[in-house]
Amino acid sequence: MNAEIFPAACGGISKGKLGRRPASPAPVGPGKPLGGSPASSAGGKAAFKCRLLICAAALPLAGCVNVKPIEVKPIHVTVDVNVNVKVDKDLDNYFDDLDKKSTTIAPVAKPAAQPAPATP
Amino acid sequence: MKPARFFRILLAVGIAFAAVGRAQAQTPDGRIPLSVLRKDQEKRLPALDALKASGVVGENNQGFVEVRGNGGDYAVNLVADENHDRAVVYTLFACKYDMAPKQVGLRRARTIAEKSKPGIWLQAPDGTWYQKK
Repeated sequence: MNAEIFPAACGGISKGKLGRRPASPAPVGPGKPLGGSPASSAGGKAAFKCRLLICAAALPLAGCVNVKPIEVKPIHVTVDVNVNVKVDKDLDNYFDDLDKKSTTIAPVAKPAAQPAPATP
Repeated sequence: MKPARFFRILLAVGIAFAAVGRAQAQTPDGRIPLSVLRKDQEKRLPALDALKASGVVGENNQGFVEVRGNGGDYAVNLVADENHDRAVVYTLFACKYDMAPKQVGLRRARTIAEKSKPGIWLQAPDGTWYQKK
């Protein structure tokens, strides 16, 4: 969050003060430490397995996100080409007579159909 | 009859004739048919060709004509009329195929560039003007 834009929301913290989150204070008094090694206790093992399960469940979902847009493109291109051909045809139909009468536009010689090769 | 009244009647008759003439050129739903546009374009074609041949007018890369040299009011008005009619045609085809009129103009510009005779001023897609060889 930008402290210059939202100073109140950031509690008036300037940009220079934003940085790494300070380390949480060490637990005071007797009792089990919260962040112990997973092998040290049964609770720690359970929490570790739980995190693994969540990560494993999230992985396939992350893999499915970037697939969809690829399939649409060829259809779109085909439609555009067909429309352009139709527009060209309509424009030619409309301007053909004018172009023939114009002295500054020469009719483009269309390539003649090549005769089929003679078969022996 | 007083002169003022006479002129008032003359003005009314003139407006009526003008309205009838305009109505004849339109379809019943108020639109101007393409055949009318084409006739107008055909009428101004010799003058436009002369201006294009002399280099005063060129074909730009949007499918419209553009005054390049000093053609005076005559050239400016002629080009404005021609561009108006072309814009109507492009818009009509654009509506028909659900595309932007600019795209239709671009396609027409490409055809004009291909078909134009040597010596005609054309605008390249990058905006630079050149004389067709």
